[in-house]
Amino acid sequence: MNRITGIAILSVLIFSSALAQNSGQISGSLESNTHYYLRDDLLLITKPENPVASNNYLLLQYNNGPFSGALQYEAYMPPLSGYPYQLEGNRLTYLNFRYTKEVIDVTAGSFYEQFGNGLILRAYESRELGINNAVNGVRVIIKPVKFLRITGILGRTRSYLDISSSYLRGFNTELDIGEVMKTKLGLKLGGGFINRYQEYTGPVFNFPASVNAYSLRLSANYSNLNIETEYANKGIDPSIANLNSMANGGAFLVNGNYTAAGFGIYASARFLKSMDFRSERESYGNYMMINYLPANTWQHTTLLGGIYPYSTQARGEASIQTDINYSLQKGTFPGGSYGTKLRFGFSHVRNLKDTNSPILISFGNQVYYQDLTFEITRKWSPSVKTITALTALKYDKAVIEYPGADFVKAIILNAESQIRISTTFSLRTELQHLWTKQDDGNWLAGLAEVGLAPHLSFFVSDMWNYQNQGAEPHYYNSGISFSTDYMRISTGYGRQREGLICAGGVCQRVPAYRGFNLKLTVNF
Amino acid sequence: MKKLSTLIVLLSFTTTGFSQTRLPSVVLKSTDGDEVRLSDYAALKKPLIISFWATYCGPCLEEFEAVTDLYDEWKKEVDFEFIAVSIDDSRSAARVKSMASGKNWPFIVLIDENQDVKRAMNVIDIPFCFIFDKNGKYVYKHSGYLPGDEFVMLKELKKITDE
Repeated sequence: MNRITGIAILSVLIFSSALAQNSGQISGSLESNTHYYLRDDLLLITKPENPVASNNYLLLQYNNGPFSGALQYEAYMPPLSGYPYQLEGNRLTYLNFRYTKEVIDVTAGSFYEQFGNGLILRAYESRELGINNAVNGVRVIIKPVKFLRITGILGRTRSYLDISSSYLRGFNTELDIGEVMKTKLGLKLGGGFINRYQEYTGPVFNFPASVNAYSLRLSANYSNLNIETEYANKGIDPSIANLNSMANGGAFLVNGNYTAAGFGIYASARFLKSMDFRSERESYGNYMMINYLPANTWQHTTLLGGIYPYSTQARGEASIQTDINYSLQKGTFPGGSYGTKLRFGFSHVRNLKDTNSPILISFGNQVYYQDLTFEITRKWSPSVKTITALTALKYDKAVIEYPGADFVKAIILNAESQIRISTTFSLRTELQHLWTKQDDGNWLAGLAEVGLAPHLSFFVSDMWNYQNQGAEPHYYNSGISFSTDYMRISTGYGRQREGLICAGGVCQRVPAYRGFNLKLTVNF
Repeated sequence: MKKLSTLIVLLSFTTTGFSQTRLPSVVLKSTDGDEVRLSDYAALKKPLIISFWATYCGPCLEEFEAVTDLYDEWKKEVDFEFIAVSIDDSRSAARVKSMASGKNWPFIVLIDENQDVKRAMNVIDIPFCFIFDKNGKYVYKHSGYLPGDEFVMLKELKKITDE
């Protein structure tokens, strides 16, 4: 699709909206993220020839009764450090027309879609990682009765700024048995199927050019308890990413929740093997995935909690986790006058006993990752709150990042305070320490943020790897942000650590840099 | 780059003529897995605060804690509904229900697992909140959360109920 088409459509949208103010509506968003890179002797970074990089996205949407349309224009000039170089350039990457009325919903053009938990299909966008695998084709959703939904798709997924060479087709059904039976037990059944066809012209006899994957789901919901399960299977799919494995893929997932007033427990287990499913068998890394296999672990967002994030091992792993939230009663001794909240999380990932065995549910003897976190949030007065968290981690860096790396055992302590000085003026601080005898040794980190609601905030932070055998680097950052009702602008200066950056369940290795950043987002 | 800057300038002039003025009818899920649409809530004929969040978003949890503390007080002053739309994907969507209950949140919590509603409402970063009046018409939006923003929400709510 060329830019002229995009501009023509854009003009039509604007003019039609102008002509029919009452019937049509245009909305959209704009995001612009620009970095300016500097030379850094400590990080051994030389200043690039063109030190400016910029990722930009413009989304326009048009709605008029049952009709809607959307387009997205993206420009990477060039892509920011850490993003794939294949994104360089600019293009109209997303364009669709949709008709939704009563039982039918038809989309022609680009669309995002997810079947169940995404074990066989998730077409989505993650700008943080430069991932966008929207399907370009046709999608039809039919809901003939309240308890049944059928989705059919046909198309090709996006690959960087282009379209991949394979074809996807599939369907998904959701059946609400609880609605049919009119019972209190909410029971839902689901099933999905995906076929990917990519032409094969190589010499291997009987090579599977066409790969099928299916999944079956069941969820039950009764009073305070709910459980959902999904089983997925994928056919033989030799690719670069799985080292031309001729194994069938499988996944089994079970999630459960039990809730009571002020209490909630979540537990999950997932087993998977050979589930890496891509739109092109030659691709590698996080790009051009068809399915979604997020890490089944707690997502840490503190400065030091982000140093050792787990990343799913699609060739085979077994994981369990739990997350418990509990609010202590206000006015009691442990709860205090203003309330205390507790959170406990545990996750554990290891290999499967035998990835060649047809038995999927098994635990091997190699630990990939383990995380035990206990967090207390206490409000001491209407204006003072603290969050204290202790995390014990095990992280097999050799499996998760690169061969030969350490098996890291670490303890992280985080002490956070939030102080409201007035109804608009606030101060937030974080102080953290990470202890480890492996990898780069201990870290110390701190952050201070001043908020002037509702428009302005400033922050400074530093992460100091003071036991690093090399340079004991400081990773400092500072920034200011300003927001109005429809716009937010932020700018900063700092030094970024090399490592895994994670968004949602996907992690990506990014290089270190030092420089300035500027981000603008507009919602209109 | 030049084309893009021109576009940005043009847009900043035209944004007043645009906006997400209605609640989208895109499907999302309740914490029990039932299909719902934000447009369904227009039938309540009440002002609505719609706040996008995720289980891993610190400022979002801070905002909800502030709203939880003030919720009963606000309800006495204004008859409104607060809807927290989680954009957690399948990594963490299943834990939304236990978190909402464990933190004693008194408001409605919905799950937008593949971020269809987030996209329909042109949200880029979270937290992000919208206020709609009782006729389902957009009146206010705000990106980010800073302590004290909740008082701006209340002011906006009162403004539309006084009208």
